[in-house]
Amino acid sequence: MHTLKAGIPIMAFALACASAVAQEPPDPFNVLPPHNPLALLQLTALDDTQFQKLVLENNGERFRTIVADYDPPGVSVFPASHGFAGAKEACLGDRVIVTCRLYVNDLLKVQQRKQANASATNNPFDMPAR
Amino acid sequence: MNTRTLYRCLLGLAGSLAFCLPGIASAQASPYGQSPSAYTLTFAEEFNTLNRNVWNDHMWYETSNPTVNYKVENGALKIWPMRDANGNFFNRTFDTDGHFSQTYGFFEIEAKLPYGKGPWPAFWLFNHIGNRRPEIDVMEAYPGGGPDSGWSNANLHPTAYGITVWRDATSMAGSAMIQTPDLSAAFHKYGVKWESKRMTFYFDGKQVYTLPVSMNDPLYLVLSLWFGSASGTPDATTPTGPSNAYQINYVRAWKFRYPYFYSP
Repeated sequence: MHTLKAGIPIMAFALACASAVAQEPPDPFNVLPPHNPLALLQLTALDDTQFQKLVLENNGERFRTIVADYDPPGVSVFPASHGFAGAKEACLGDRVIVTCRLYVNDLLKVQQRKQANASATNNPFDMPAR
Repeated sequence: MNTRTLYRCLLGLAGSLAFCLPGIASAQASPYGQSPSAYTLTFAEEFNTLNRNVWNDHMWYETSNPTVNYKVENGALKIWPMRDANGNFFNRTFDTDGHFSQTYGFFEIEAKLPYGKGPWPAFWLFNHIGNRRPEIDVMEAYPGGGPDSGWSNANLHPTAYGITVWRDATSMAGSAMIQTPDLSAAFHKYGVKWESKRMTFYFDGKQVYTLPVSMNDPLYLVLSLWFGSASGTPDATTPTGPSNAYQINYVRAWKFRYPYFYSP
């Protein structure tokens, strides 16, 4: 009987922990592949003139090729925020420079989170491709 | 005008001249189903006209598409799917960026949604602060998703909507799918009570989702009819024109009257 009573708080704690874990929503950006963020870091380091030149170069083809490694065409993030979806569409569709900056920053944050998560799990198979 | 309303007006407790007007006062005094004593109205757009001093018709980073796919009619803002001069479906956004924003409180619209493949109607709170873009998606629907997706029926009429909270553009705090009747058949109320450590979402006054989350940036109001996401790509089957509009009867916001409502 005592054992049963002692077990109740333990079970309650375990259930509470399970509940807490269950409340953590899955990251919709998990569908994007892990990839070395170096190219994104290089993009963010460009000054406005250099960044604009790269975005507009060859009708935007070079820029699209770079970001496709991080956000491949055909891969759908859902749900996506309007903030992310709007910046992406205005960047890739209309090549609005300020939104391309935001889009690159968004992709960089996603990759940095993937790296942090991989480090936390210490699983080499989760590390971004080199 | 009853004694209570007169008292409010005289003391300036109402926070808005709207409270001095019988009829309007009762409708706007509080969020649907909430206690009037807890709230002060801070924003009320009834869409009797389209006030350009309050509403932008495009996002801050884009130019307005010259093809007009909206109008104010019969006390509602209507935004409908339409192709522009290039033959493309295009996004339309109305927001209060630079005109009205608020941290915490209650935010509510009454709206009727479009149907068909592609439309992505939404009501959200948002801001762009440097690279940060906090966002509260109070209502977003994907009628083009179809019955397998759970978002709509076989006729692509929306039978669910999504709620999502974003600390930043790629950082989701929580999300829920709310099953409903056909949202294109009638007007419904969509609301959020935003407190300092919690958000509670309402559909027609009924609590449907609660999320423990802390966000404290001022956010502005956004009504949008975009295309894509889980609604798919619009095509020749997508009903266009005013008869398939995203119709918004009103947009209202309130602040909490007492600090303890938002500081649990």
